[in-house]
Amino acid sequence: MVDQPRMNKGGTSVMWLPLVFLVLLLLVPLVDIAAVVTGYVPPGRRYQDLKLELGSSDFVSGSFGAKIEEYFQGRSVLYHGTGAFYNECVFRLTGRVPGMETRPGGWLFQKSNLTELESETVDERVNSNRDFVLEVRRRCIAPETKLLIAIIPNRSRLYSDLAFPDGEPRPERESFLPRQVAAFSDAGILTINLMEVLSHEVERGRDVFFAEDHHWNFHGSQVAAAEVARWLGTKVDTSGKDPAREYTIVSKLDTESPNRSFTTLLKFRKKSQVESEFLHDQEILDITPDWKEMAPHGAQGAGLVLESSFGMFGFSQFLEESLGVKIDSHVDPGNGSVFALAHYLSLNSAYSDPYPFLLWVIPEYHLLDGLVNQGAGSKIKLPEPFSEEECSDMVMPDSVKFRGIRKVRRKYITESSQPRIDLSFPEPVSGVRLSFRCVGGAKRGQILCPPDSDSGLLLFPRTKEPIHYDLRFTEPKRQVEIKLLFFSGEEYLMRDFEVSGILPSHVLSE
Amino acid sequence: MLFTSYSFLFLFLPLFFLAYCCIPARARASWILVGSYLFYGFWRFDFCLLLLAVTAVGFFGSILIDAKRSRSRFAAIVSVSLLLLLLGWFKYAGFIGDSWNGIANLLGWDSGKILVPDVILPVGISFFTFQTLSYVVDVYRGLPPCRSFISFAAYVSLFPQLVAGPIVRYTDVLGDLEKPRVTWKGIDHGVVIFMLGFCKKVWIANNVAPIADWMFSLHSPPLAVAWLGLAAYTIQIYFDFSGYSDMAIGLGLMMGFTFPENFRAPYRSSSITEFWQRWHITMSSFFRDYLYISMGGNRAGRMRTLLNLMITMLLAGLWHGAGWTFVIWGGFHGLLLAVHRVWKTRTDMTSLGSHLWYRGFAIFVTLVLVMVGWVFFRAESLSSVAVVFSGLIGVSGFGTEGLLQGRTDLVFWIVFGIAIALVTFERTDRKWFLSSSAAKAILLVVFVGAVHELGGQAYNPFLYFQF
Repeated sequence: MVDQPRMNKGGTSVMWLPLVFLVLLLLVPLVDIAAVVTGYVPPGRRYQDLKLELGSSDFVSGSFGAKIEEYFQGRSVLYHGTGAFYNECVFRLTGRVPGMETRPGGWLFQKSNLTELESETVDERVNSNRDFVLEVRRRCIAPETKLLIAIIPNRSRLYSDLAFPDGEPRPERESFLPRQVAAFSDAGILTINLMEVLSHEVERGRDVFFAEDHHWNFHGSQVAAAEVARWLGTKVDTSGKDPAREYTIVSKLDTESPNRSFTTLLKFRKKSQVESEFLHDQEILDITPDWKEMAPHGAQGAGLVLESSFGMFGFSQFLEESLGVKIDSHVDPGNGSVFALAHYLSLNSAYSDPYPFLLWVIPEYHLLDGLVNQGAGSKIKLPEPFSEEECSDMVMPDSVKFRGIRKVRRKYITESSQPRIDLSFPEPVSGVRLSFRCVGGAKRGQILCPPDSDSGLLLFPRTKEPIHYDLRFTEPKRQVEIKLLFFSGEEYLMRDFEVSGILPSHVLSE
Repeated sequence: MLFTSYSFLFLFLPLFFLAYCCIPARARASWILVGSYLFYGFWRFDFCLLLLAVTAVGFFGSILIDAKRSRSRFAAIVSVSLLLLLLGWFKYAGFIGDSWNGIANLLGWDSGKILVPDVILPVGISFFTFQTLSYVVDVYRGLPPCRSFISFAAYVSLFPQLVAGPIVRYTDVLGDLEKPRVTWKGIDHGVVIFMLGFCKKVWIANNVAPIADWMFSLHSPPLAVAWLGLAAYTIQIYFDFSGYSDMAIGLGLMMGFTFPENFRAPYRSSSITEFWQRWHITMSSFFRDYLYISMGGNRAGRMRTLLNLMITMLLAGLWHGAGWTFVIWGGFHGLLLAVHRVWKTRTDMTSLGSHLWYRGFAIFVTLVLVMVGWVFFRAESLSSVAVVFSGLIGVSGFGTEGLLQGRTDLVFWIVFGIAIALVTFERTDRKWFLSSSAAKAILLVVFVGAVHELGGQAYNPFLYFQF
């Protein structure tokens, strides 16, 4: 097999490394194959049904390798789960999890959520969040739409006895939520603080959050929805709207998150065993896939709920059931609640066919981070679509140069996480419209606009709907450079990419 | 295919290598050829035809050159021209078209504008074209040509170094190509060097990359952020590229090939000339042997020498990328090399160089100049260069002003510190890792950790794939 003996001069074997190395390399695919054959899959992945769908075009479009890689990585228990397995082992052996504070009963808290805050930070966050929400209301919400904010308190706040067993006061952290709610209310923003109703459940001895995940559990979601429905009933007239839809009933355990996303703790069990372990006496509504999609062509339900990953635990379904009317929902898991909002505001239907109410459900830690800081590279600004009048006289660019994006027929595929588009117009333009359909790839992308663009940073979550992004400039110009930034994944797919500019006569003064 | 991908590590490598060891030595070149085309086709199968075309030009061109006893100058010119034409079309057509249109725009000559072709840049084209080019020139200079198309195609497509070097000359692998010899020692050393490179890439380059990427995306980076981002990029590019080179060298050793070293602690250079003797050695020696010396080198007078240096570095810059930023980067280094050459002839280096303080100062100055050069190399446009430079001199403010909050964590600073320590004290011979079982065991643990780390990292390709 090998052309030389494996003993060195002294006669002792020092060549163990190649064997270990090769065994290691072979172990991963073999374990993965065994896991797939026997049904051992990480529970957090049971909703993701990966399929290797290769077409002849993949061989020449550059997507062949990416699809193979995505498939095997996604299916791999060992490769993707080595970190999780390591965490699980450490947790089993020592009761501790790297990067986490462990508490009795297997409760885990992120260290960053337990540290005291600086006064200036709290002041700055409270005010900037208030201004941001006011800006949302002023610029983007139709007059007949009521904007409601529901704040989900941090888990460490609800379980402060567990989170802070030393009992040391953390005045700034504790004062943040009341001050934020007060700031919203003083500014006339309709705000629902879910702290009271959720803490009441905790006092009753009923958990409302998962022990090992920062999300609320299905019970917490249900309690919150009931509170919001009670609150909405006095504020919004939903009579005459379509009745609530019916859903499949399944059950989940209160304490063990199906995601275990907090720590990537992972259990390798058979799928059926995992399902059975979630059985509990509490009945909740299943999350149907289409529920996560936003109604694309105008308002249909009595209102729209914009949610972050907390929306994966049935809040909107519970709300619909409690109100007895149909509710539309947009859940943007892993992207932050601002992304769901930005996506909605980039649609024309947000203005032409508005909902009676818009409920924006914001976790407290998003407010602590600052709503405007959920982007990367620069602060988030909200989209402000061009008016019909502005769009009536648009010019096409002389040249559109993509850097880090390759074009395959009508598909545009990014080759870099930071591609660039250079536009050259025949005459100076005061704004640019980008239109495209996002058909897959990176989890989220952002447009890093030029410094002299008033539209700043925009966001485009993955969607199959055509979307427009309108950027305005402070000075008309012929050459425009647009930088894009993508997260978690090199490749992002766009279709039907179009770009046009508006002429300076349509500039809107700020 | 990326060395740091699941498909390579856990599918391609074990299957390829086990079969490679099992088959007779004479069949290994064919197996390399099959494996290398699969490796390249993983990106795009249709571009395997380009690889084949380059191989055909090199192979048949060299046969024609050798057909005449006096070596056919015509065949050499045609072969080299064809190779340069392929490289020029795929890599520089867009750049030339854009530059032409830019000039026409500047002159207000609208009718002079041309339609710029939208050409896809094939991965690694600069590397495999240059390898073939060097072979053709070597044959013209007297090297006996390879008579086996399979062996030659295996040389051009040899997957460990196909897409990001090191640039391997035919003479480097001449003896091994017909019957590659796999030995336990070679596999052992190869595995060690591969793991070292893998850890460099995953643990260091990938962990500092987000800070560099972020800084270069800012519109007005403050001074501290700009320098931290630039330092992060300086570390990233070295550990990324040298990591890839190590992996390539390691894989080569496992397969029975000895590839040339590509890096020798370049950030410890005390002059820019020394830097180029330590950084991307296979490329700089290629430009030296096939361009600089061909133009006369330093044998045609002082001014001509400086001009040769400048032209060589400008073209080296252009080789790295079809953009003005790369040309300026090359020109910047050409200028530094020229200045250093003039300064060296006018200064008594024997007395000055013996002082420790001088060497420390010289290393510092060289490093800063190299870092300044990286701004041109990394920035996507000249306007971005201006933005970063304004940040570096403090035009956009001094402090971090909370900008770093949440972007750097303990892991980043630890990795940053380790990287600086490695750059400062790195042993280039890897003796410790190659001879000690304990060191190998530690490396194995770190490697397994890197695989785990990779599972949690976003996809991050090698920087030099684009060249």
